[in-house]
Amino acid sequence: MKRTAAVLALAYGIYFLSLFGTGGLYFYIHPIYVVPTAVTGALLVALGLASWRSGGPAVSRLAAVILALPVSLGFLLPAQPLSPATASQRGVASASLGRGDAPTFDVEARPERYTIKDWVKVFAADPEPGRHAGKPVRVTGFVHHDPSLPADSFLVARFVVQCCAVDAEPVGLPVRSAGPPPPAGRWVEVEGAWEVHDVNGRRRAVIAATAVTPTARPDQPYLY
Amino acid sequence: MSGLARAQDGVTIFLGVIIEAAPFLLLGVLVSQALALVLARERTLRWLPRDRLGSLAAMAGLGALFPVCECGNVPVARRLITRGVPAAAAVVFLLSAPALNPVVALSTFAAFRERPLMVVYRLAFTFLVAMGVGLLLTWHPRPDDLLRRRVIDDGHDHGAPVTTTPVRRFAQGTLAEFVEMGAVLVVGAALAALTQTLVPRTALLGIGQGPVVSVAAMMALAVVLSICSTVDAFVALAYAGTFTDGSLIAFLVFGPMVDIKSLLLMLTVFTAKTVALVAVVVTEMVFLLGLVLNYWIG
Repeated sequence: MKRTAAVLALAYGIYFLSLFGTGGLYFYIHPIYVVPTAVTGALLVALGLASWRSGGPAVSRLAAVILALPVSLGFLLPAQPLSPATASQRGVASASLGRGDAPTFDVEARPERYTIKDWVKVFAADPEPGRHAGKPVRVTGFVHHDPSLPADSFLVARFVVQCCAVDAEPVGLPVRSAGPPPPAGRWVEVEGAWEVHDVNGRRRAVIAATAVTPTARPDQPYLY
Repeated sequence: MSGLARAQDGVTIFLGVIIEAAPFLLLGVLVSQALALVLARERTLRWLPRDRLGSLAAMAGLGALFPVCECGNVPVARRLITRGVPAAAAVVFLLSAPALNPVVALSTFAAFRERPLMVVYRLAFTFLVAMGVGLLLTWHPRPDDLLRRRVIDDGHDHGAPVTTTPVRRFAQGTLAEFVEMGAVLVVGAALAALTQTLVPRTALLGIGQGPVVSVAAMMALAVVLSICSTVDAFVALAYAGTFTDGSLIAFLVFGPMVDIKSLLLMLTVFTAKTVALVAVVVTEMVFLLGLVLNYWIG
């Protein structure tokens, strides 16, 4: 096949550009890499077209077959973000995240606008649970059942991504709900306020939920 | 958790690595092809220092001019070799360039703003290890045996017909190199995705405070994760509270030099024996430096 390399370049170019168009890139990489990836897609299309007429370079059949695999998977399977299954495999951290990564928001201004990651930073900056009691919370995340929590509690969690899905770290906040906790993996919006509870002999801040509403997965499922 | 969700996440991680690395890979290939155009007349790089230490140090400094990740550096190194740069010097370039450049220094500083010494340790140790391995290789009796035969023969052109225009030649050379390097990247991404979905990360992390065991654990983590050097400092940060400083520096020095995908990419230039030797020596040196930091400095 004379045009194998050109076909591969076109396929990858179109794949990257279509992910860029549909917003699917957000399932795989950090937003700062979205534009470079789109530019790469455009360059690959240009390279493919430029060498189309002359037939393209000779490449090894093995390399071509290997390179064809991911792009076929990408076209055949729907683009999917990491599922909550990976959260339990990686272990959800509810402790420190981003030391020295000072909150970029006004800590006391609008706590009900904080994301899960913002709250993790707030608690990293000031771990004393008592000083956060009573602050209002409204966060969106997926439900994660942590066996170390009491039966009426669960974690509301999100993946934090630095670079791409490889480094996604799940972080979560403990929630205590009036009703039975929703099934693991369900996306929910949790509303409530922080309370201090005794969890396994440790004083811990827990969200006392006034409402746990099922919701759709956000378009950008990760936090950054 | 269901096996289907796991498999699907494996695919997401797999594609994530490829999508994230693709711009860097293409950038590296473009730099390599541009070098080929610029150096088309010259068979050897005459401006390089002749003496042993000087030529190695020059290669370590060259990384500052190519702020691309591991995946982008291999095509550049290959081009340098076909233009007469000795194999040992090319290894120094490959080991140092991913970490010893301004972009990585900045991102490491951004992550460890409270402790700028971490940046100094990272850069200094990277230089030390790269130079050490390079020096060792200069004593090889037959330096050409370090390389794959094909790389040495490859010096003239990239198989493109001479009749085509320079633009077409450039496009064809870029495509050929992109396909070849891309295939290796795909294998590396697949291995990284497999280990990530099969090995529970918490298994590695129960051991963060032992001065010896933590260094080994973070080095293992670096190999498994295979993250780009420009962002690995932020990942290291996630372990800053629980792991020793020596182990964090070991992670930051070791990761860009030895991980699944960079080893596979290196195999396209060097023989398996050379790559194994480099990996072993780098592992030993980084491990020792991590221990030195934990016991005598930190």
